[in-house]
Amino acid sequence: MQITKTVGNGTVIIKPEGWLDTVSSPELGDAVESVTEAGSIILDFDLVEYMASAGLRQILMAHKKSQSLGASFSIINVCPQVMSIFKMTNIDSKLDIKAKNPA
Amino acid sequence: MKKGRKYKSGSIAGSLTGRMALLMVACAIIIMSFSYRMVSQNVIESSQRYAKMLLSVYGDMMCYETEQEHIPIDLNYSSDADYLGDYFCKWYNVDYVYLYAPDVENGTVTIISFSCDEKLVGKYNAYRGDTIVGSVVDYKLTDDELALWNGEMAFAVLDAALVPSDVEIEYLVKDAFGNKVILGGAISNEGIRSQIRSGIITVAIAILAIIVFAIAIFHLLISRKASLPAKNISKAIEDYMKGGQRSKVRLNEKGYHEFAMISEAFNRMSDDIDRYMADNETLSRERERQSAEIDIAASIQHGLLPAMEALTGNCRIHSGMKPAKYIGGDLYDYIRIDGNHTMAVVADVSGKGMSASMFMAVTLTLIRQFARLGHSPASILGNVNSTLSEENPKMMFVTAFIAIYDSENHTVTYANAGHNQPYIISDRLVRLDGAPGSPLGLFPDEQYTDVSVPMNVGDTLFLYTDGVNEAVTENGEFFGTDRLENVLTELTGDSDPAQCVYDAVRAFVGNAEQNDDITMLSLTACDNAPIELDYDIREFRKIKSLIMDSGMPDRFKLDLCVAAEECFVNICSYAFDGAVPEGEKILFSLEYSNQAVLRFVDGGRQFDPRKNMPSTDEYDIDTRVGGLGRFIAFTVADSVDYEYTDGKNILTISKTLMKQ
Repeated sequence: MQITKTVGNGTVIIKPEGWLDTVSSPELGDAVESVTEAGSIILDFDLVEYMASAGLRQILMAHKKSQSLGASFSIINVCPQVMSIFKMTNIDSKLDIKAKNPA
Repeated sequence: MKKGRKYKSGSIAGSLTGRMALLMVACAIIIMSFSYRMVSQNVIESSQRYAKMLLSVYGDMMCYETEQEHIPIDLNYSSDADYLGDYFCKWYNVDYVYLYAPDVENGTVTIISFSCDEKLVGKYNAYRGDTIVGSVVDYKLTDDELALWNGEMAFAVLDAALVPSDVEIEYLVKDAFGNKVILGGAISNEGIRSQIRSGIITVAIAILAIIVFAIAIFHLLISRKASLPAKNISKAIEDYMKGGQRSKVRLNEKGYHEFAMISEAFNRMSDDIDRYMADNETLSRERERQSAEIDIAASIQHGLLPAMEALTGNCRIHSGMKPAKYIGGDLYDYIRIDGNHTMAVVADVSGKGMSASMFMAVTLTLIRQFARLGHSPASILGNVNSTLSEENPKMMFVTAFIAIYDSENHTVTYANAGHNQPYIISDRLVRLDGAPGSPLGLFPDEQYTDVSVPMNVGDTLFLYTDGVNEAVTENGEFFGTDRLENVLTELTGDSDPAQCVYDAVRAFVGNAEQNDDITMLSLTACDNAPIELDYDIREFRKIKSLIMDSGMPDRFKLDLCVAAEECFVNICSYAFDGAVPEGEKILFSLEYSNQAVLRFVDGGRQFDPRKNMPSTDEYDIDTRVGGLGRFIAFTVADSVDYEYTDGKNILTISKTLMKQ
């Protein structure tokens, strides 16, 4: 799985690409784990087409990690399928998650 | 009149009155020209009348006076004689009146005159005291006067001779003493003309007054009797056109026959139109209702048919039905009879419309019923035929083709009830031309025959209705079986034959309206044995590609992937505590038609994933971490079933593929 990480001005933007399934999700975890300091961590899901519970676990861990760094945490550009997973697990009410604008 | 109307301006009354006025003026001119002559004549006559009158009144007096004085004429008047002369001149419209007695021998006359003209008053009068006396003037009598004097003529009309005027009229009269006296009246041309003028003007004014009055009356009458009714009619028509309470617009013109007729005709017409409109509204409501009912019927009819695409245990099915404008009687169907047998049907009910569609529904139900009982195609056709033939007063019929694919023996068994001969597409195109029979519903005792032909994995059975080969262009050219066979021969790989043929038909007919249902069904034999997966989460990619590459509607694929992944990961993680025994595999299969069914079979320890599930109302991430995947899988799927048989866990995930 391709993951792009952009650091600037205390903000870390992590942009995974493709399917966040059981096999690929740990790579997202690694990318978040490698952040050592940040004012805010943003997961840009613009190119994520699919996510299952494995991806969800990585997001919860990334959230914990950002809390330990004292950084804010948000997920942006979430597609409908992924959004439905957040919704059914009620995680959308606990984290800062923004759906993709319908183009 | 409203502005901008393109009819002739002016009302009937105005226009008619104008013409009337012209006519009357013309009449007036004619009358005037007559009256000129009459007036002229009248003036002359009145002069004569005057003279006679004067004589009768004053003759005695005048003659008496002359007797007394013993002079031929010695008229002696009171002081108001001038006034009397003036009065009579005016009354009779002459400039002078005069009396004279001639002395023929001496060539003189004794004359007394009166005039209304100041300058002429008493020109020949002399006064003796208060009385006027005649004066003696040299005057030689004309021949006419001489004749008059001698009693040879009653009166004479002369050019002016004695007094300054233009015409003189003289009479021979006698005074009270029997002496002869000539009485004359004189008038100038100017006087005549002015009299004529004033006479004409009087007549003209009178005629003009009559004309104006007549025209006013005429205009009033025309206005009331013609213009007003016409205006009322026009207003009523405009009111009527505006709509609203149409029937409230009534015309009630009584007056002239014509308007009463128009009025009556208008009322009748508006009543008729109102009635037609009401009828029309009722009809269109009725039509709308019927059309809505037909739409419902059409959707029920299509609801009876299975999904367009399916992957059953032993074959992949593509079907397509494009109904013509009106509800029709085509049908297709497929049923997985058991693990090895799948039946495919295409049928076409004669005719169109509601009756055809109801007949189609009955036929479909009967075919399914007999197919589920395990009948062969010929037997199904035979049974359906005898059932339909029992009660078929309208002699409707169905052509049908039924095939049952047997994946164990790799054969297809078919029977044909008068339907288009289908094809098997393998390395070549084979037309299934065996087992001809009559359409269903006509002959109760018809016997149908089963024919079996080989059909291997990868071969495709293509069924269609005559809507395909009889699709027609605007020029009346049919698509035909040759073009159909060409399309089928050139099919490649996994392409959907129904879609390819339909595209070719559409391209061929262009804009021509489709006049028959186009229905197709292809059944491709496939080896749909479950895939074997290692107990390794990386094997998920195989499940993923099977789901994503299937013919299911795209919007269901990701959800099914999520459900499959969660279940698969669960099995991989918990089936065995330690190493996975040699050769142990997870079996995964996918089938779909109206419903997608995903099945996992594994030989691990017995585990019912439905147990100890978190509440499906809400999953609380802070209190529960385990079961997250299962929770998602159960939420995404419609149902997850589990059974443990022969040492195998069998997990079945189902999801309805809703038609759009």
